[in-house]
Amino acid sequence: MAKNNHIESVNSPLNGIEKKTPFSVPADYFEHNPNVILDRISQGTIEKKQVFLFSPGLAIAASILLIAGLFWFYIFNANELDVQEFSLNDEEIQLIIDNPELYGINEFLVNEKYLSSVESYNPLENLSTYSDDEVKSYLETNTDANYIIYEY
Amino acid sequence: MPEPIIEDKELLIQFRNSNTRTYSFNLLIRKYQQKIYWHVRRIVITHEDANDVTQETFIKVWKNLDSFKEESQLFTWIYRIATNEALSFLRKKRTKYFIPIVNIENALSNKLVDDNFFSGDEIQLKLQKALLTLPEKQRLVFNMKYYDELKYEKISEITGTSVGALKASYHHAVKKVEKYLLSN
Repeated sequence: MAKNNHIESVNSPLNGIEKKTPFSVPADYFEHNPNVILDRISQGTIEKKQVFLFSPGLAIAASILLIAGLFWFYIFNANELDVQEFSLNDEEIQLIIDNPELYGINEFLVNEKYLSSVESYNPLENLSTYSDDEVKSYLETNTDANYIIYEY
Repeated sequence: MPEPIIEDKELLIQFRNSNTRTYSFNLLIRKYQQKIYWHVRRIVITHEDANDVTQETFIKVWKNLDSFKEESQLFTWIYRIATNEALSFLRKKRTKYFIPIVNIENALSNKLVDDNFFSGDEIQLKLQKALLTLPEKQRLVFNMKYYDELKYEKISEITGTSVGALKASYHHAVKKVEKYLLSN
């Protein structure tokens, strides 16, 4: 039995244990191993092994949750997304108003859209009763810009 | 037929010659593979993992041997690469399974019982389980001192830790192992 010279206490339970590595290897492992390593080197298969951050099960579960979350988000925010997609900011609206030679605005559609959102809508009412600010505010929040604006 | 034992200096000269490069590397692997393998095996525990890490170690040696400056012994240099590879392997394993540090050692401890390549008796199994309860650094120092019987100066060179800190680590490791063996 190998002696544990560097164990301080003579009563240490380590002194009663044979000091050998208690593992074994497959038969002829050390005979074949050098050739396996040299084969890997010569075949250029030195690239690093892939290490996945997630285990496969966890990755699948995370994917399902992500898809469900995106689906839920889309369903409950679809209308909001539509409005945001086609709304114009102040500068864009101002650009359109200041450049009548570039853009035309179908006033009839603008007014009809706006009036249809007002409870006391009367299609026969005089269209000129609405100020530019009211129209601008409406355009910013409610209107599909591509529907009412056309390029010359 | 046993391979000829060649001095490290001669191995390096042959490695730098493209005509004898592969031959000399074959000799280098045969000269050091067992020491490296057992060192790695005591860290990662299973044969499959030790096999992977040992191969990666020698592939890394192949890729970097040209830049080896001979400021340390060749064996110390390879030993350092192997140690880093093995510790890095365990860390990747922890990251992969999203589990805290203690659990991977628990998993390895459980694997020991059913390992076909565990050849020790009951008390040696208990010792290995005790080692797996140690913090990573203490386990590493214990293995290098107890099994490999390396001097503290050599371990210091390999791990980049001061001799004083290594002595303290080994002392704590022995105390914890003794306590485990007596209480279990």
